Amino acid sequence: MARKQRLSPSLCKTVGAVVAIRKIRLTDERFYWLLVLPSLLIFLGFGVYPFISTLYLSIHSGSQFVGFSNYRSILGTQVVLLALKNTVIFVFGSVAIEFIIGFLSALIMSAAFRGRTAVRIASFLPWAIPIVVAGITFKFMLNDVGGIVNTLLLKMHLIDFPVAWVADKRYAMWTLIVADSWKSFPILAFLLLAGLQQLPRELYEAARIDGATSIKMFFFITLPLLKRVIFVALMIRTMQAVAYAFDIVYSLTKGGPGDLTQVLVSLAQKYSFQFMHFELGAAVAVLALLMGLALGGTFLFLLFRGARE
Amino acid sequence: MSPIKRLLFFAVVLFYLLYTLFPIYWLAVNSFKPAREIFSLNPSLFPQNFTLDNYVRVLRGEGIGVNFMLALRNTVVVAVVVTLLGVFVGGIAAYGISRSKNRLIYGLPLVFLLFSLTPPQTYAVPIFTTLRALHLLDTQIGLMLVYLTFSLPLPIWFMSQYFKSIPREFEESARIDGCNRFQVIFKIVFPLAAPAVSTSAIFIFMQNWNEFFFAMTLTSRRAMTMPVAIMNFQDARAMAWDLSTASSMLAVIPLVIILTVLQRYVIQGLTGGGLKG
Repeated sequence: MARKQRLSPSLCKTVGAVVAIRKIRLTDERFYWLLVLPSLLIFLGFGVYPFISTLYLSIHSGSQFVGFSNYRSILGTQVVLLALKNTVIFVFGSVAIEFIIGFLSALIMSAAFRGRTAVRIASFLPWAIPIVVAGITFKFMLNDVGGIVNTLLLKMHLIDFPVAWVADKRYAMWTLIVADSWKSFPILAFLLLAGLQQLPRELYEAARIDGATSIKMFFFITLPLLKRVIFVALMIRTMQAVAYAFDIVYSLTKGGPGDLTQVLVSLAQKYSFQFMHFELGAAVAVLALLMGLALGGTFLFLLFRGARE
Repeated sequence: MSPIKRLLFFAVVLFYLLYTLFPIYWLAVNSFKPAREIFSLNPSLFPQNFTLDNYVRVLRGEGIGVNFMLALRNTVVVAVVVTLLGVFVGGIAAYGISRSKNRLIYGLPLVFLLFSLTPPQTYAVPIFTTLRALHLLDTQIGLMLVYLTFSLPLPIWFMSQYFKSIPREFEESARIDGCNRFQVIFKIVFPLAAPAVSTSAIFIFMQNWNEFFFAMTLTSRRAMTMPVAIMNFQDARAMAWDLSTASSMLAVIPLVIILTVLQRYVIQGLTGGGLKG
């Protein structure tokens, strides 16, 4: 008894806390929090903290607070403005082509025919391989020395000399768009396929009885009913195209020739890890983030405006 | 369909397949050709002098000193471990989210999803400096931690949607029969959601098998993965297409086999990614 009284106050507190913890009943809601906790901690450590830290870096120089001067400095740099323009061209070019091929793909995949599963497997393969492999493959096919594209074009007498598609400043951005749309169209294709599968069949039967052609049905039934799915899919792909352009740029053109195919994310990488200028790299990365949010937000806005009408 | 329409349809399908498959086919075929045949002015659709020599040379790391075997092993280890961890950590979180009535928890999948649509470059510098401070640069553990983070959004979204469709009565009766809370998750809910769990596992595996940017930024030798090694072959000797095609194929072949066998889950994940909203 006497011993117990001599326990130090801090120890008493600890013991008290342990007893208190044991008394907390594990209610359902607390248990759910406990299950979410590991994911939350990982997310805080490797998602939220780096994000805030990047924002912090982008308004500092060394340990000195400099406000928006990093942003002013990059927005006054020719190559950043070029990358800004390139990102827009790249994203709209790639997503537009992806949308056309993706829609065609979705229509094919939703038709009932023998070998449909094989076509569906073939449809996701471009998406499944590493992006750098896609980049290297297109570089190989478009190569001016013995590349298959040049060989075929020469044989068909469409060109007189091999064209260095990847290294030529007139074509470099196009090769990037062609390669990226090939790599990424499956995402749109399958999202649209999911939408197509939800459409009520009766509508088509009714339209057919009324004598509508397939083309008419596509424009007057399929497209209007798929509007929501289309907007969501385009929003996702646009944001992805901004955010994940690095791999295809790096493996196909390395931003070249010069900086003509440099996009924001590849430029951010160049500033941060080639020039080791973390603050400017951070500012360019934030610019890329804002760009993705702005483009994605536009689709979201259109979606909600469409929903209200 | 009338015969003409039918013919037209299959012509379109044929062109479509040519578009999707030719690049992969061309990569594969050339990886089995000797270098001089790759540069032939009359390229053939099949290798005239079939050889596995390119693969042997890649696996030996010939010419550029890249230890491709090590890269292959790193890729397998990192992808497998992150897949197991991701399904476990993401799965229990998804269960918590699907059952909780708390609004904060309810909104989490959307936050995660938004996170997955932002550029990795926004996170790269602090992650790099943190791993450097922890002496985790160029280690499998460091790469796994980062990969795990970026692997969680999709499975959390996908599995929480699926778990919502599983009636709570199953869990309640299991509890009455004497299962504890964790047993309910792993013995009742996960097995019932097997398709969603498999799909999530495949997606995580694929994402990390293919990941390039963080691998390139955070590893240099010991923990280098295959996509980085492939890029190194290409960078070191740009015209060595025999090595580039063969090293690319080494990353593509295992994945394509796995995904083709499990195609049902892949297609389910791509079409049912919870984006029906």
